Amino acid sequence: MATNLTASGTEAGPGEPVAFKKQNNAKEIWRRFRKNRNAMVGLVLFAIVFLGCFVAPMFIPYSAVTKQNIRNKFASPSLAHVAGTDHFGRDELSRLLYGGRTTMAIGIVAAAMSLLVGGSLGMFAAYYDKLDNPIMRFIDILASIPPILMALAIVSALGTNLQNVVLAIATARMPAFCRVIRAAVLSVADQEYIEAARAGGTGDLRILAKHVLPNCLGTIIVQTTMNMSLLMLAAASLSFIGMGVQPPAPEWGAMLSEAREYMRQTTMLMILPGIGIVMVTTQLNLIGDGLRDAFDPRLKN
Amino acid sequence: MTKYIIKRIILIIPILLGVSFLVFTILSFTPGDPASIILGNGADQEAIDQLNKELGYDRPFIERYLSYVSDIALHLDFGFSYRTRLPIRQELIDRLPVSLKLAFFAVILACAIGIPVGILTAVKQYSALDTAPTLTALVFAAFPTFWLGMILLYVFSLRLGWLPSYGAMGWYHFILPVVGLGLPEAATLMRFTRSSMLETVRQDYIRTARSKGAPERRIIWKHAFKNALIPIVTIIGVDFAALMGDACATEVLYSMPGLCTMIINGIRQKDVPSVMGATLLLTALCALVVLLVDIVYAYIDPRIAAKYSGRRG
Repeated sequence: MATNLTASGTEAGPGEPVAFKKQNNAKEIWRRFRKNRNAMVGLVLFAIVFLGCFVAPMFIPYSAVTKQNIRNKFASPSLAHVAGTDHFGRDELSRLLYGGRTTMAIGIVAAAMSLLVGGSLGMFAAYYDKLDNPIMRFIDILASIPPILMALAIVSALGTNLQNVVLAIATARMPAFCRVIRAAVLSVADQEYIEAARAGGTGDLRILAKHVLPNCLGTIIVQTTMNMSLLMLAAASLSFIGMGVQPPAPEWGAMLSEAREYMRQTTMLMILPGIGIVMVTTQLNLIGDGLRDAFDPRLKN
Repeated sequence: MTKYIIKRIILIIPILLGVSFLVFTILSFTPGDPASIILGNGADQEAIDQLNKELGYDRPFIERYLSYVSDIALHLDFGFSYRTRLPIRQELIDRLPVSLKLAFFAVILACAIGIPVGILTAVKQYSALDTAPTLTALVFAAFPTFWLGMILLYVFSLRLGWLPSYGAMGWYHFILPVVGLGLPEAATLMRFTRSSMLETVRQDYIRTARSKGAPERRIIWKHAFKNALIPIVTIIGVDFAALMGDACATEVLYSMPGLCTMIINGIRQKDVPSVMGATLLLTALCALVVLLVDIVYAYIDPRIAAKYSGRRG
């Protein structure tokens, strides 16, 4: 017996028009994501830390971060200073929040930059056969320099400030983005619907934007989330070795580098920023794992 | 196979040329010319020009690059440090063993912990023996190595006084850096081994082995592990470059006289030849590790070895 099935799987009665319900992909992915307990814990905790670091500084004046009070250095937690004070008597909580904002902002902006440049290169390499070889050989060379050395070379040439740190770690991470997105686009580019669009006279840019990219969205989102945590770690370690954000500006890695000198006096200063970094990277990894499983349930184990 | 290895070694050369050009170009953006850095602030312009000429800095960029590369290729001469006026080559020779030992033992430690525990968790999936290590690894994989290093340094060096906190004189100087560098890597490797094993265990040939009554131990080690090993070896190769970055922070934390500290000191003192030399050497090292991983593939997977030999004709 021939039955007409709608997309939702219900049987259509005889005579009724066959109605294909448009599947809402985003909703389905969100439903799968929500069922993943680890990922949800990660998301909620990340939201809390993220809001704390980006909203709280709006209510704390920046002067709280820099105001020194040497007489009150290494103070224990109290009502006035919830997380105590550092070696200059500065309020540690304000520094932690501002520092987290810097670390996270660097990670997010660098991931976006890396995605934009590396991703476009990968996309064009995969879509235009003629560009594939030149772009990918260039990326091979770029990728064979260990990321840290690349970042150090850039920072040493341009100087250590916030913009250059972002530029350095984004450039160092670019080959990874390029390769992953190229692979994703390659798997889509020779599908029949792309050929059909081309036969219909759709322009290349429109095909890329309308047909190729939406089908690679899963890879792009997962890759960006995963890389955000890596880039935050990279920013923190660059600051830790003194080649990133410079004190007195607060940044978790730079704060750890400062705390190193005062290990004998207090452990508080070296514990708190570290916990911040571990928390944020773990949360982002959980979210990334959850997104990967939600976009492609076959990969789950 | 030998032919393949030789071919791969030759293929490293264009990569090194590309890398050296890239790094040379980036570093030539560094503000300031060598002579004013060597002579310091008080020097007069004439002396600066004279020294720049002696150093060959007045020549065009391409010419400088070509002479730099040919010096390395022909005489293994990496030039002189702007600061100490000593040959870079000697400093590289002095510092290489420190970085090599640190990276090598950290990778060994990571494999020794990560792979067996990863297999254990995959075999005992969903039991306490799975969840406890998996959760621990999740947190450890997110640990910045330099922070773990700081904690180790505080506990074992400052508080307990068991191990030295800086330098690289004897083997005991390497214990803390290697553990700090190796543990997060072990966690990453464990997570990867686990998922690779779980993937393999589901394959048909494992079911075949089970149905024909092969003992469980044999299934795990002979059938599953050997097949799961290929992606694991890949990840060790891929992670090596990332390990280099963590090694950098570790070398700084423990003040070890390695190649990374040489780069960082070089940057601080605007000593471009030091930065160039150490960067090139480390990059070559990473390229060699990637090559090594490809060769190891052939030994664990006869299919790949066959492909290598087949490509020869």
